[in-house]
Amino acid sequence: MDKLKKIGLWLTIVFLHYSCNQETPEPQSTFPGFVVPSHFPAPIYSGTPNNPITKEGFELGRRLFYDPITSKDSTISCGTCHQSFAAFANLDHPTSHGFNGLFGTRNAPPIQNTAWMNSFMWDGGINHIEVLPVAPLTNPVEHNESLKNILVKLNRQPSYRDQFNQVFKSTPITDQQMLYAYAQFMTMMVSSNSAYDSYVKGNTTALSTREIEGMQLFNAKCSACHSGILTTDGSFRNNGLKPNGIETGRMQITLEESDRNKFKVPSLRNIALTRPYMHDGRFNTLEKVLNHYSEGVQDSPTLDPILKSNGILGIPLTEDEKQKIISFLHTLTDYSFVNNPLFQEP
Amino acid sequence: MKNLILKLSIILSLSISFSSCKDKNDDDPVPAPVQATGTIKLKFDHMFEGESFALDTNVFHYKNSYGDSLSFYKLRYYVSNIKFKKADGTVYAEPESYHIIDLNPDATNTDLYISGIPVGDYTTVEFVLGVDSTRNVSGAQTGALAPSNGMFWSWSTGYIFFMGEGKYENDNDGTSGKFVYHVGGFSGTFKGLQTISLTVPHSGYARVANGAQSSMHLHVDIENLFNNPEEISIHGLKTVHMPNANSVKISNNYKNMFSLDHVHN
Ligand code: HEC
Ligand code: HEC
Repeated sequence: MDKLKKIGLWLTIVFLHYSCNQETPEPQSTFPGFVVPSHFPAPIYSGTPNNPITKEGFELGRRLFYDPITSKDSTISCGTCHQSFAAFANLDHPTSHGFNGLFGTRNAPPIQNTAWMNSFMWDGGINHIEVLPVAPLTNPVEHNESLKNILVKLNRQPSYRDQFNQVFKSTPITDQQMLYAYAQFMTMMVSSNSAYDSYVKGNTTALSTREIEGMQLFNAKCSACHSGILTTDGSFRNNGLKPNGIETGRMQITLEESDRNKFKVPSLRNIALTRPYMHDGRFNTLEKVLNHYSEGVQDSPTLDPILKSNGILGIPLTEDEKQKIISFLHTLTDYSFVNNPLFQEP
Repeated sequence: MKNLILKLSIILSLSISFSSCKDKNDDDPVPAPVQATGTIKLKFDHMFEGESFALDTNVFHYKNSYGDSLSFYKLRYYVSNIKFKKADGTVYAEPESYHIIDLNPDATNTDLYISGIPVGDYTTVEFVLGVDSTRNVSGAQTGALAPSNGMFWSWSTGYIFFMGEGKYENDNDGTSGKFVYHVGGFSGTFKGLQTISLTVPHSGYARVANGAQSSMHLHVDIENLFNNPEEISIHGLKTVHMPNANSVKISNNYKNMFSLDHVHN
């Protein structure tokens, strides 16, 4: 009897397996998991033993990212400000609309390669990708009740309850689980397939002569700060922007006078897609950015020493050199990233 | 179907381990010693200048030494990393030790029950007011440390260790209004972490017996917040929202709010 039962069981398993395969012609293989590109350094965050990155967890994070249920009046999702065609920055909005407080004064950066970042936001105020969503989700006026409200709303929806339970194997939905899911989605957002990447990996024809000249100029003039394959060293520096009177950057976090007007050195990957530029979106073209470095740099006690070396303010650049650098910056665009169906609204 | 396979293999391995256990027991009949443990209840009894203290939205029940008549409508703080020490120096540290003491009527929590303490006589309790730096830099937490508890700064990552909010009216200059003290800070110049160590008075101890409960009765006198040792008047300092020089002053005072009044064995 027992034997028969077991055989029956195995038969059912085998049968189920076959029918599953037939019903879903696109199996797991479309989800690559988190992969460190061969020419990248080791990541800082790649999931944790408590939050391993899985297809289901990633998909849950994506659903949350695009779902306005996470905002008070159900009008705004992360995707409202972080748009895929702008490498998940906010195209053409100097400062993002939506929430009060700091959000109204800062330019939404792209979401890419967060796995390699040790701090987040222009002032580096956030220290971990898992807690990052708490900032946009809650009002800076510190009501903080809204996380609870979001959990109430999520727990009310059977489809969310099922999906969370599938990933985290427990109910009800907690804020930790929600934050884990967001972190999974964002950690997967790796941009590593631009023409420049191809060049770095050995394909010498990936860049034109002009672009290579631009790269050499960039390496000489910009890469002290926009360094390495990620085009940032993750440090906080004052690049000589005229203070806008609202912000003091890193100093708002540390209260140290020596941090006045320092901002996180941003990655320049996909920079051609993410205008406007700088923390407050003051420049809407790369030409204006280059003009800033050559003519606009303001002196101040915290100006980065690199920008006043040999007694010269700024970075001397000819018009031709600027155009070459801009050509190079365009080679950092990664269409396979911005068009990747994995990251689009499902 | 994975589940089924899992179940089958669990059953299989269970039966294997079961039988192997039996074999082992036959060889070695001495049972593993089970440690005898009990519970200590930590009771946080709040007061103002020795008089009983409760939250209130309207009436000014208390007065500090600068003529500020005051009442609190919110008072919450983190108590973490609780340790009990014996006279011989042995220490029991509660694992995953994070708690919120909360006086809010809808979430009141002023008694902590710490169980699993090895039997013995404990003379000292030690705890941290705040959350250690590790948990401030380790991503999304849960339980008492869940950000949804509202004791968390989102724009500049870190836990709010102490949250006191209320109203005041000053007798001398006629000013009145709200005060909001949110204190934290786990690194850099402006730390708010305080380690508080309290010893049972009169050479006493809390006796932990197997399966039983004793209690330590703590007094928390809020008045110290304004003058022990830093002088802080409410009309002079109405808001603290981030780690800074003022939050450090408040933390130097909240360290001194606590005393261990007596124990029940
Ligand atoms: C109203 C527009 C808006 C919404 C909605 C929004 N963001 Fe942002 N996001 C911004 C702005 C503006 C910044 C920069 C803020 C700063 O530097 O202080 C930012 C920064 C970020 C960063 C930091 C990137 C870096 O390089 O440091 C990440 C990651 C991020 N947001 C993820 C999210 C997630 C996840 C959500 C949804 C839970 C979200 N955002 C919702 C506007 C928005
Ligand atoms: C001294 C360090 C430093 C050097 C050198 C430097 N940058 Fe920057 N760069 C920064 C910092 C810091 C910011 C962010 C400033 C802000 O928003 O307040 C920035 C911002 C930018 C931005 C805007 C990015 C965005 O997402 O909005 C671009 C584009 C840029 N830099 C290009 C360059 C180029 C090209 C060069 C070389 C000609 C260069 N930088 C040299 C530090 C530097």
